[in-house]
Amino acid sequence: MPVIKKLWAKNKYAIFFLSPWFVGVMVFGAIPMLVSLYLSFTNYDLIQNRTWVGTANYAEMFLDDARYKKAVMVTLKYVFFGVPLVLAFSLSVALLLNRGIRGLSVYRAVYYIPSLLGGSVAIAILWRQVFGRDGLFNQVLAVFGIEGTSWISNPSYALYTLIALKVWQFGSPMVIFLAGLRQIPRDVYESSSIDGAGKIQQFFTITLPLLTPIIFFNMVMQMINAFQAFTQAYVIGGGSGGPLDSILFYTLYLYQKAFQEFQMGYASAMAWMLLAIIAVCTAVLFLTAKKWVYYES
Amino acid sequence: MRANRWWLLVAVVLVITTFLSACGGKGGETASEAKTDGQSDNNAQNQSGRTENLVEIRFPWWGNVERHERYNALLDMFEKHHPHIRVIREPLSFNDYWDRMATQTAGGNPPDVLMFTRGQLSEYVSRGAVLALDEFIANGVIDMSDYSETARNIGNYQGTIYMVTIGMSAPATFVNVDLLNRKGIPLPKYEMTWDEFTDYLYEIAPQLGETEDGRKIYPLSDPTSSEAPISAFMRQRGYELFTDDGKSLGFGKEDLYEWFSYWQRLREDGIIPPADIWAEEGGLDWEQGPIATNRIAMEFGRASNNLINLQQVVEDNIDLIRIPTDPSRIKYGEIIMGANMGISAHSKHPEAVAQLINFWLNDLEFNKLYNNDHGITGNERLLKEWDLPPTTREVADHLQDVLATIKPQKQRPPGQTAFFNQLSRSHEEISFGVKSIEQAVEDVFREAEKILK
Repeated sequence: MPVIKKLWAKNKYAIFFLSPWFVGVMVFGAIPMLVSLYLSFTNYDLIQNRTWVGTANYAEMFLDDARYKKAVMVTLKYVFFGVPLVLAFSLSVALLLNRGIRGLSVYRAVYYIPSLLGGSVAIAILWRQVFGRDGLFNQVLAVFGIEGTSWISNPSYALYTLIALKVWQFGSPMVIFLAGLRQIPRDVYESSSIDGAGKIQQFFTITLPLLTPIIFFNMVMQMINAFQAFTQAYVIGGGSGGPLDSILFYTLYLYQKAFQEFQMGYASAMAWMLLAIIAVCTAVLFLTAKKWVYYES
Repeated sequence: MRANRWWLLVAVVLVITTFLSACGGKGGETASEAKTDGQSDNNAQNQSGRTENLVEIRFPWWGNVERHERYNALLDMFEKHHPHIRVIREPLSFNDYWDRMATQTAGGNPPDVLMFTRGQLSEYVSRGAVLALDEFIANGVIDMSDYSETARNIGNYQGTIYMVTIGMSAPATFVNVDLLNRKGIPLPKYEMTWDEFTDYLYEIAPQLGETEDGRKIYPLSDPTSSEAPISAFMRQRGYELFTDDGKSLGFGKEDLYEWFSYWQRLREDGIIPPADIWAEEGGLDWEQGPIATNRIAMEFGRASNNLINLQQVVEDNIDLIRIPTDPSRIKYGEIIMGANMGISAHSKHPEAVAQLINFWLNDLEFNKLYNNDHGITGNERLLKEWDLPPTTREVADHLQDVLATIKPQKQRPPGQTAFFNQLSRSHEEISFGVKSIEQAVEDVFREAEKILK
């Protein structure tokens, strides 16, 4: 025990300061997660029943649930269309802003605002209005003589309105790209233009490779967030998953199972499955990163 | 100077952003923050000095602003009559109400006063969350002497009464009388057979023309296979939706096929709006809904008590007619719906809640203010004493008519929410043309087997 006494004496203030955070993480984070793991092997119905069913929930998810497959497809589509679009868009705007426009800090703040608001219920309601049959989007189309349908209640288009909402929140990765662009030293550009490199060449041979760590970071963060999207789908689809389940995001389906169909055990299994999916995708990204991410050090 | 002005602008933007960031953050947190803020505000409002012998009961409800104000006035009236009871009020939106009910019940912290519609009774009773009321009724704490047998048994589940009705309604077809008159179309009869009804629809379809902003007017709404219309249809064939033990469906695949085919035919012939139009406009309601915007001339199978609130926001005169009858089988099939009130099994003050319920069921002044919000009161003495406004009188008469002509109905078994979700999904899939009717029927039956076992 003298070891422990020594550790304590040396670190007691650190432990005091960390303990509130630690208690918070345990009580509101780690322990609920472990309980949820336990529940995923039961048929907990949120009110009473809690009997062990082993892997029955997981089996049902993969073998017997058509809506589950739909939810996974919808979410994957959202992630694989949405994330690259956001990255491309935010990088483009960052490049534009990096030219030294006056009032850069104002533009940066203004473009960042959607990222702050975007996850809110109010914006989702607004979005539903904008893309409805008589919404702003169709009114703009009408100026060009195009007659728009109701985008949010059309099963073929509803998901794209949500992807548009995601791209609208480009401010957050944009700010990070901007910071990354600023870090690239000027002299590299200068010496390359002395050697006769054009703007486009400079972009592909200097900017992009030096930005790859930032691109990688943004990609991972955006992907993890996209897998967990909920509020927008809930509000825009009215909680139902939209027309023909076209915006039945994974988390939305989880929510329905847990709170509307009283199948919390199944929903817990879904939650841990989502964790597994995100972990696998992230691991794949990290593994491939070695090939294309260039760290200066 | 210039630099200073820029800094000022930046500062202003950042300040606004900081304020607005309170609206953002992760969506789930925002929603739940808003909910708990609302609740704590209400608790703060209702603090007063008296604490001796004071019994507090929690009463959440769903509704819109108008209902919140009305309920606050009603509960003030109740508290005046019962000074030792204080009601902690928790107004919520419809979806939030059920989220919170489920979570709080799971967390062992349910409210004292429970308000349910037909759908949730079995879910919560079968999980032990609701107190049986037979004793209270028997010894008169909850006085139901002025209620008919049918009305008293609305909240009867497997032989015990768990809930009492605070308002009943029956599905009806809402007819926009003024619209029909404007187009010079004869009005439908109050009671028609299915054949007469269908013929009438096809007759008026070409005469309806367009709304003011050039959109086609359809004769009828799409009922999306919600419970009331499909129950009526099946009950006329002698089937309840579920068997007595709640373990399987009470009707056969051919019956469901007939139901889906009927509406698909109407859709193909332009009698009811096509899928994409209904997906958007059918989801809106009240002053934005298809009856108000004159998109449809009649709305099928809607709860009759909705007429009271609908008529207040719609200028056109709307009347109720009965669901089409089937004289060759069982003539009338409607079920009684509405809102019910009960006591939580975990409540510490069940007698206080019982007194609230009793007051709700029997006091004339209270009911005049309540104005049959969730449906017509089942208290026949009150209905005689009370001089109802004309729309309410129409709804009450329709309800009495239905009560007098229908067979007794069964309670929904637990697990049925998932079943009705599947029904409406299959209905949607047929209407969008992604599944054939046979496939949809198979889906429904397969899902029912999974859910109801």
